[in-house]
Amino acid sequence: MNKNPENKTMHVNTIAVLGNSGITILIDFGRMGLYLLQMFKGCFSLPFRFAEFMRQMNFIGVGSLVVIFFTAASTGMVLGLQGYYSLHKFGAEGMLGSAVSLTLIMELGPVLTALMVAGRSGSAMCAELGIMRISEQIDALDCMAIDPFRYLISPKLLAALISVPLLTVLFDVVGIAGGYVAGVHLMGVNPGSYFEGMRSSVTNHDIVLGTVKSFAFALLIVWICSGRGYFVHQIKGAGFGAGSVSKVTTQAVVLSSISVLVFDYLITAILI
Amino acid sequence: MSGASVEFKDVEKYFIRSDGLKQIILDKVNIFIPAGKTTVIAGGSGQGKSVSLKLVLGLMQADSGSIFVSGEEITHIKGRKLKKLRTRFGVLFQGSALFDSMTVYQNVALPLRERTKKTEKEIRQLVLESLESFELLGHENKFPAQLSGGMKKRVGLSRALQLKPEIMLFDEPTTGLDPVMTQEIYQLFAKTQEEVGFTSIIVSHDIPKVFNLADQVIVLQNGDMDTFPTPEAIQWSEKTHIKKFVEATVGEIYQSHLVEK
Repeated sequence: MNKNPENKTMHVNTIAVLGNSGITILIDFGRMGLYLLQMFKGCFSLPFRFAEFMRQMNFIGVGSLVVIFFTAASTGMVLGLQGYYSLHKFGAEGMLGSAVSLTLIMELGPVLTALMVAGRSGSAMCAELGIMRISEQIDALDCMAIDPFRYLISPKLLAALISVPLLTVLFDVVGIAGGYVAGVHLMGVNPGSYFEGMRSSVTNHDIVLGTVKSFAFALLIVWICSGRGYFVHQIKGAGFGAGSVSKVTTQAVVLSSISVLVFDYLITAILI
Repeated sequence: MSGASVEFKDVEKYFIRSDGLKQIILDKVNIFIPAGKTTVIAGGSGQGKSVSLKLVLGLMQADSGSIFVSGEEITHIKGRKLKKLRTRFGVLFQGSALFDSMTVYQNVALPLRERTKKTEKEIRQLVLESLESFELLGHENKFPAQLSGGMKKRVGLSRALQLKPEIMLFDEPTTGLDPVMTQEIYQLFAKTQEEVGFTSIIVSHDIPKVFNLADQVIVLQNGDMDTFPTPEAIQWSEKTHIKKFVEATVGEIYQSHLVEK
């Protein structure tokens, strides 16, 4: 038995620190859970801000077109080359279309689109709300009895729920085209077998899986990124002022990206 | 239009610090802010002046005690009732809290667009009238970043008055302004209050200048609130902590006089 009082104090302090961290995490989860509910409630509150919704569609959707196009094209081409290299060993180059399309539609399309949107739009969302919070603009909305969820956050959520699945579709199409260019034009795979492999192996279930993922990822990105910005003043250890916004923005992008990867596995495990 | 009264009864507010200890901000305070008058809440930094405002606005909840607005208890109200209560308040924030992605016109028009059913034509007329009275006409298409500190305050005040509040709360309204601008802003407050008739609660450490406006002064020190019917009364107080506060802020004895309106 340890009789040293200093050691005892150290143990008590460790337990206190652990307990404190546990409570902080629980409070954070509770806060974010309520935030999610309020976000949904805001979507059904009137009047709907159509102009803001369109502005967000433009920012999240149209603004991400270029980055999605180039990411999809390079991913598709790499998949075409890698796929050809692997399949060639077994003399199964004809399956290239099937491999590229299934990988893109079920996994890489939704995941990479979500990661790009999290990095580009999620960070902007978090910083915008964080700055509005520290400069008391959100308090001002509250004081004017204007619901910040209806006014600021729900248009972002609805825009992401529409834009991200559409961007995912674009990613899939451009990626498959990229795979075609690399596999057929560069490596000499038969174009007919590329498309026939894709047509025969991709089922509705695969497309549904990819679509469910893209909706879930859109929700995760808006929830985490806007939520971190909204609560920037309450996040323990974030500090104050501009420093807290930059810290929380980095945290939001990392957290939403990790969540996308974790949920990718969970959704695949449940729906496959 | 007449203002509304605000009353604190045994209000306690504390925060739990990171080391688990209780930090008492308001220790069972009792205050009465009369309708239609100007009350200045003074006190050093970190004494809970802004917390008091947030309690009135429902942005924070009291840990015990009761808060009344015009005799109606508002301590724990939520949802629609809280929303309705907030329409009775106007707030001028420390940093003005203007929406930086909107122009001056859009900022002032926002409460009318969101909280009333007025047509765009009516809104335009009201906003331009208000901007004219605050000498902001010609600046309506500027963004907050293009305005001086004093102009931002005037835009903030114009916006806060659009819904004709019964109670105006001013949180450190002259922070960052030069002495001339501070005087101008105080004169503007006095003039507007005379015209509109709202209850005015000013949280400030701008002492003794802010005393010019005060019908009563509340000093917040070490969790306690002391009410003084006139600025002079503070200076004659026998309480040690008030004496210290007066020495630190006012210095020599100060005689109040009314602001020229």
